[in-house]
Order: sequence, then C-alpha cells, then structure tokens
Amino acid sequence: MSKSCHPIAESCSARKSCSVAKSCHPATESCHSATESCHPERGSCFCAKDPSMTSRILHKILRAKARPALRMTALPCRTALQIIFLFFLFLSTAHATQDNYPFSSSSDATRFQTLTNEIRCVVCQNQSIADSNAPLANDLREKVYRMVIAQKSDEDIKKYLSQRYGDYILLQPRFNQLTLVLWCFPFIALLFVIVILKKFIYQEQISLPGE
Amino acid sequence: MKLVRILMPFIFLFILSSILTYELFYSRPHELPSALIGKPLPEFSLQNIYPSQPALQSSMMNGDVVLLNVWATWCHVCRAEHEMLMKIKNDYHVPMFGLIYKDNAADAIEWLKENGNPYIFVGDDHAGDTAIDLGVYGTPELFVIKQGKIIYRHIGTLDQDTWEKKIYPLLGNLSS
Repeated sequence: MSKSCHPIAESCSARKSCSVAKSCHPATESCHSATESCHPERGSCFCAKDPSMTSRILHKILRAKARPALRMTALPCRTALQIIFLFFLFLSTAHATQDNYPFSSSSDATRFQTLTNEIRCVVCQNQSIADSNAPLANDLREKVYRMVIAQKSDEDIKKYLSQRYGDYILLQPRFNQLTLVLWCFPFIALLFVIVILKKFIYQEQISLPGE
Repeated sequence: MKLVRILMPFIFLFILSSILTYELFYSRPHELPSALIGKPLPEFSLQNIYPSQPALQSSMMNGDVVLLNVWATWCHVCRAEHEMLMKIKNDYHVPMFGLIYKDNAADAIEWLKENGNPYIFVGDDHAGDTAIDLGVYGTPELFVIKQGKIIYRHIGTLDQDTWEKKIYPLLGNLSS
C-alpha cells in the first residue's frame, strides 16, 4: 500500500498511503505533513525537522539508487549481518551436538573439546575427530572421553594415540628431529628472502649513481 | 656462468614440478605407515567366532612367521581378496589368523562357510578396541608378525602381485 508512493515526489503528505507513520524517527516526532517525504527504499514516509533536510535526504537516496555499487545502505547491511549471525548460530548448534559426552567439570569438557580438535581422523585425514562422523572417529572420541574422565593428562592421551597410529594422528606436528625442517623452514625462507632482497636493493643503489 | 643464471629458474621449476607430479599421481597418502612396525604385537584376547574353539590370543602369534588379517563381512573389498587368502593357505602354507572388525560372529561363520576358511582361528573384535590397539583404520589390513613382533602391515586388498613382490620376500628373508 505504502509502496504506491512515488519516490521522486518531494512530499507525499497528500497521499493517503503516507500519513504520519509510526516509522518516523522518534527524534523528529513533531513532524508536519509538509516535511514528510516518501522513502523510495522502504516505501513508507519519513520526516525531517526542516523541509530542506527532507529534500537533501531524498536527494541522497536517489543518488545512491543511481549508483548501485554504492548501495550498501543500512538496510542490506543489516540483512547481511543477520545472515552472518544466523550462520554462526547454526554453527554453534552443530558443536552443541557433542553434549552426548557429559562431564562433571567444565575444565574436563573444554579439555575434551581441545583434544578432539587436535586429533586427526585417520580415515578422512583432513578432519579432526571432533568434526568427523566416521565410525573410527566415533570410537576414538569415545576413547578420549573415557581417558579424560579417568583424569589422564593431555600428554598421556596423545601418547596413547600416537603409539598406535603414529604422530600423523596429531594435527599439529610435534617438534622433533623428523619435523625440524618443517618447523624451521618458514624462518629459513624468510631469511633467504631478506638476503636476496638486500642484494637486489644494494645492486640498485650502486647502479643508480651511474645512470 | 651467465647460462647457468638463465637456466636456474627453469631447473628450479623442473624440480618443483617433478615433486608435484610425484605427489599428485604416485604418492599414496591413504596408506599410512604403521606406528607398530618393529614393536611387539599388543596383547589381546578375543572370543572366537566359533564357540567351540579357544579364544584368539596374541600369545598364539609368537611363532616364526604368522599373518593376522583384519576383515569384516560388511567390507566388500575383503571379498575380493579372499581368493588370495585361500591361495596363501593352500599353496604357501603360511599360518594365518583372522580378526573380524565390528561385525558379528554369525555373519562371519556364514561368510566363511560360503567362501572357505583360510584362518586357523578367527577372533571377534565387536567393539573395535583391539583394532585401535593395532592402529587399524580400515579393513582389510594384513599384519605380518615375526616372533611376536609386527614387521609389516599391508593396507587394502591383497593381490598376487603385492603378495609376491612385497610380502612373500619378507617371509623368505626372515624365516631363513
């Protein structure tokens, strides 16, 4: 009904569909019909304290309409945020399904959460056992749960699993002789880049005065 | 010297692409090496699928060379390798034990009646606990055990080729 307002109209107070609507901002409650305008986006009336402001706002909105790329106004922005919020809401409920592992203390529960996130599902390989629903992942979660309940230390639990499945089962590789290169490589590479860059910059500095 | 400098990026590229080609087409990331190679077989005692027979125990596998096959009736690939297992029993005479993983005894008995039984004893690992101790992450998996120690693990179906090239030479070397 209110959409029938013509967006170009300076003021739509004369139209029935645009009476002093509730949607008027509380700050400008005392708006007169002359200062009312039709909002082209919402299709309802909005009011400003003085008529010049109304036309300015209208002008701004119409200009925004002309440039679709810049139309990320408050409304679509809020929708986007709502979608993001909903997404994370569902994500959090996905994690809440792990409540079938009851713990008496919250520290144990967080310990279980972190541990299962650090253990690889050997069947699916790029998932942790917390994320995987493979039968073996279920079994291993159960094992970890029982060991956490039995107050075994994190280190003991990891050792138990790596003795059977190898260090590969730990998503974060341990620091040992075998993984020395793996851990040190980023630093070596960075050093290498610095040396190379330095050499280039130095060469450039030498060649500059010659030009 | 200048030639080397020009060729350097190409050599680097060649090495990199060779590594990537190998990783892409020839590496087998799903075949994890067993953490138990060279380690003693973990202790276990499992109920035999045949009630009249003794329980399957790790102490039974202290002999010279024995094989332990982890399988299940729900595992389709296990059916494919069964013929090879029968061949190992009949032609190569290597003692072999079976372990059914997350399965039930009645199905396994039926299955063995239908396809032949290559195993001396078959243990029933219903909960999958022994499998975890063995580091099993799928079926079938074949363990080669020499004097109570695990010396090799084969993942996936066993065929004539793998048997001849990988496993049989291992037995020959070790039993001599």
